[in-house]
Amino acid sequence: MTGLAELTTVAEMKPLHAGALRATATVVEKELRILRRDWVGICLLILAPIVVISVAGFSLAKVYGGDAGVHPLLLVDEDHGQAAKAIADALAAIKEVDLRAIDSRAEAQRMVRDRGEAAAALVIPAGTTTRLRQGGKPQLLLYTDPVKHLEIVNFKLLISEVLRRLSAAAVDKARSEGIAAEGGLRKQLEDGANASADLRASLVNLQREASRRRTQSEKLLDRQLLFAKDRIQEAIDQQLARTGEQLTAAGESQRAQLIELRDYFMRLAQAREQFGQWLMRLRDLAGSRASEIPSPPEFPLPPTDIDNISSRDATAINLGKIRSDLKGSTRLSRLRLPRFALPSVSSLPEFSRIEHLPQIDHLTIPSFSLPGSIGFKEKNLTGASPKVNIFDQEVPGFGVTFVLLGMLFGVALGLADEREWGTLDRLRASRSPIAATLLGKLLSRFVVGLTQMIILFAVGRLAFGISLGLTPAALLLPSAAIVLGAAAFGLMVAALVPVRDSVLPAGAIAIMTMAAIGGCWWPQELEPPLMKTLALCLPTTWAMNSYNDLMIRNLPVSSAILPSAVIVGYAALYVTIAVAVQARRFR
Amino acid sequence: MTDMYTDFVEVENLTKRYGERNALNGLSFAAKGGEVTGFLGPNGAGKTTALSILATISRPHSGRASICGYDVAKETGAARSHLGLVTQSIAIYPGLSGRENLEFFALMQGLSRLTARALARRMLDEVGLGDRAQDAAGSYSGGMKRRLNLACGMIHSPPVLLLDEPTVGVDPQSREWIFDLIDKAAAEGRAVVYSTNYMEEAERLCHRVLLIDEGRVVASGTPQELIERAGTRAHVRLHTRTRLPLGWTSGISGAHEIEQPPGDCVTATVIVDEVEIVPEVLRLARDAGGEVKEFALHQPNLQDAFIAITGHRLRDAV
Repeated sequence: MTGLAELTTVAEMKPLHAGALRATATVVEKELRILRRDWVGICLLILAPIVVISVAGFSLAKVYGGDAGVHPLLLVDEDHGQAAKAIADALAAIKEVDLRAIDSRAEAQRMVRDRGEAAAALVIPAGTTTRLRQGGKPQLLLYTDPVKHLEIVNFKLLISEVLRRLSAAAVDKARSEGIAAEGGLRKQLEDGANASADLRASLVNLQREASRRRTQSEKLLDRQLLFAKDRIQEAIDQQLARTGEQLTAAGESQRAQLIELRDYFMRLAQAREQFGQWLMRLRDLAGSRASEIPSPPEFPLPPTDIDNISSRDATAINLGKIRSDLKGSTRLSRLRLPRFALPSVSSLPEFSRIEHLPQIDHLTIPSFSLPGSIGFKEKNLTGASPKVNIFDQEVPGFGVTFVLLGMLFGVALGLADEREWGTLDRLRASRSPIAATLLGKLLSRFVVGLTQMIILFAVGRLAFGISLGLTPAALLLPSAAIVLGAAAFGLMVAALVPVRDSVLPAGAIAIMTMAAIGGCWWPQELEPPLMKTLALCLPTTWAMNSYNDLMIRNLPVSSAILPSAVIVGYAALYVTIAVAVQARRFR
Repeated sequence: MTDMYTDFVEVENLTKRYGERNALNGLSFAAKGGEVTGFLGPNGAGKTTALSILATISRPHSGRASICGYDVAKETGAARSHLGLVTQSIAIYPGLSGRENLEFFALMQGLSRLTARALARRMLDEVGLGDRAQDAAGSYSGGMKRRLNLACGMIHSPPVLLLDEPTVGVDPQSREWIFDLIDKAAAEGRAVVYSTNYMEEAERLCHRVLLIDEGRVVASGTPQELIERAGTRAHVRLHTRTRLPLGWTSGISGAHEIEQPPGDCVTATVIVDEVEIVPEVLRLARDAGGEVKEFALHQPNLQDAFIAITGHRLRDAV
C-alpha cells in the first residue's frame, strides 16, 4: 500500500493555533469577497438604509418639530374683527401653515371630514374681537380629523403659540398703556399736589391777608359808618328843619283855605235854606199844579265837620311837636345800626380746614399693573441646540435596524445557507476549528456592519447635517457594541431556527420588534412606561440611548461606556445561547 | 500513529439514535487504503449518519470509529487532518469562483496560500473546470458543481475520502470525471468510502461493498461476492405472442423455467446458469410456438443481492 506520509499534507500544515487565526482570516476574506460581488447585499447594507432614512426622516420630521412641510389649515373668519385679523396674519406668517380662508363652517367641515383636504379648520366665531375687548374669554373652534393626529398636534401647538403671542402682545400693550396712564396720572397727581401745595400756601396767605383786610375793613367800616351816621344825622336834621318850615307854611296856607271853604259851606247852607223857602213858595204858587212841579235836586250836605273847621284851628297840627318828635326819633346816636355782616374769616370752611388738607406729596398712588404672561425659553442643559434634527434619531435608528437585518442575512441566513449547502459540514470536518469559521464570519460581518454604520453616519452628516456630538469618534463605541450584538443575535437566530425558510420570518419579526421597541424608528418617549421598561431587555434600546446621549444630548464619551457594556453583555448572552443550542445539535 | 496499518478507517459497533429511531445499529466495518469501499443501501439506511460520524461532525452514542488510527470522538483534530468530506449536497460557495472555492477550502485545511493556489489549479484541470476557473460557481451546471464539490473535498489530498452520494443528479460526462477522480484517488492509495444507493456505481467503482440496512452492515464483500453470496442467477424474461407450453425448456441444460403467474399468458421467465445459453432459450421458445416479441436478459446484481439479503429493494426502502 501507499504510505500515509505520501498521501497526507500534514507536514506542511501549520500548528493548530496559528491555523485557527489564519482560518478566521481566511473566512473573513471569503465573506468579504462574496459580499463584494453581491450588489444586492451591498445595496441592502448601504443604499437601502439611506433611502429608508431619507423617507422616514422627511416623513417623521414633525416628531421632533422639524420641517414637516407645509400643511393646509382652513380658517373660517366669522368675526371679521381686529382679533381675527391678527390671528389670521400670525398664522399666515408661519411657514409650515398653508392658511386657506373658507367662507363657512359647513364647507370647512366638508373639507376636513369628507374630502380630507386638511387636517383641521379653525373657526373664529363672530364677536370674538368684541368679547376680547370687553375682557371676556372668547373661544375659538378647531375642527379636526383625528386620523391626522400628529398634524393636529402640530396645529394645536402653532395655534396655541399664536394665541399666546397675541394675548401676550395685547397684555403688553395694555400694560404699556397702563404704565403710560399711570405715569400721566402720577404726573397729574404730582401737578395737583404741587398745585394743592401752592393753593394751600395761597390760601394761607389769603387767609392771613383776608384777616388783615377784614380787620382793616372793620375799622374802616366803623369809621365810615360813624362818619356816615354823622352826615346822615346832619342831613336828617337839616331835612327835618326844612320839612318843619314847609309844614308850617303849608299849615298856614291850608288853614286859610279851610277858613274860606268853611265860609263857603256856611253860605251854601244859607243858600239851601233860601232855596227851600223859594221852592215852597213856588209850590204854593203852583197851587194844583204844584204836584206837577218836579222835585228839585238835592243840595249836597256840607261835611259834618265843616262846622268844626274853625274849631280845628284850635286843634291844628302841632308842628312843633312833630318836629320835636322827628328830631327825637331821628337821633342816630340812639340808632343801633346793625353791624355790617362781613363774614368772619374763620368761618370760611376751606379756610378753617386748610390745615387738614391732605398732603398730596405724601399720597401713595397705587401701582397700576396688569398680571404679566408667563413664558419660557428652552435651554438644552448640554449646551447643544434645543432644536433636534430628526435625522439625529433616524440615521442611527435605521442604521441599527439595517445592521440587524444585515446580520440576519449575513450571519443567520448565511449560516443557514452554509448548513443547507453542506459547506458548514465541510468546514466542521476540516482541520480548522469551527469556532474559527464562526468567528471569521462574525468578524467579517462586524467589519461590514461597522463600516456600514460609519458610512451611514458620514452620509447622515453630509446629506442631512446630523450631529456627531462632542467627539464623533465616540460614536464608534455604541456602534461597535451594537454591531457585535447584532452579529451575535444573527448567530443565535441561526442556532435557534434550524430551518432556513424560517430564518427570515423569525429573524425579521424579532428585528422589527427590537428596532421598534428599542426606539430605532421613533423616539422611545412615544412609548408607554411599560414598553420602555421592557425595552431595556433589548440591545437596540441601549444603543439608541447611547446615540441620543452622544448626538443629541452632546454628552461626553464616558456616557457611552455603560450602554455599550450592556450591549456587549447581551452579545455574550446571545453567543452563549447560540453555542449551547448548536453544541446540543452537533452531538 | 504510523503508516503501518492497512485499515484507514475502522468502525466498531457504532450506534446513533435520533429520538426513538436508531440511525445506526451496531455498524462495524473497515476501509483499506487504495480501495473504494462502497456504502450501499437505501435512503435512511444510515449511510450519511455513518459518514457524518467518520467526518467528526456527529457523535455516536456508542461504538468507536477512527480515521488513520485517530479516534474521531477523542482525537477529532487529528482525525480531521486525515480526511476529506464530500457531502451529498453541493458544498461550495456559489458566489466564489471555482478557483476561489478550492483555494478557500485548501486554506481552511491548513495549506499555505501558495500551495492552495497550485493545488487549486491542478484540481480544476483534473475535474475539467480549468477553463471556467474564474467563473462564479453559481453559474456552473449541476455536473460541474458536483465535480467542483468533489475537488473541494480532495484538495488537500487526505488519506481518507468520505464521499456521500457525490453523483446525485449529474450528467454522464460529469459522472465519468468523478469516477476517474475517485479511481485515481484509490490508485494513489487513499481510502475512499463511497456512499450511494446506485448499485451500478457501487459495482463500477467499489472494490468492496457494504450492504447497509437499518443502521448495520448486512453483508460485505466485493460486488461479485455479494451477488454470488445472495445466490441470485441470471434470468431471461420473454414476452411471447402465445402462451408457451409447460416444459418447453426441458431440452436445454442449465435453463430452469419459472412458473408463470396465473393469468399472465404471454410472459415467461427462465433462469439461466450461463448467459451463453440465452440464444438457445430464444430458439426453443420460438420452436415451441411462442413467437418471442421481446426479451430481456437480467444479470444478477447488487440490487438482487440486496433484495435477497434484506427482502426489500434499494430504492424503495425508507
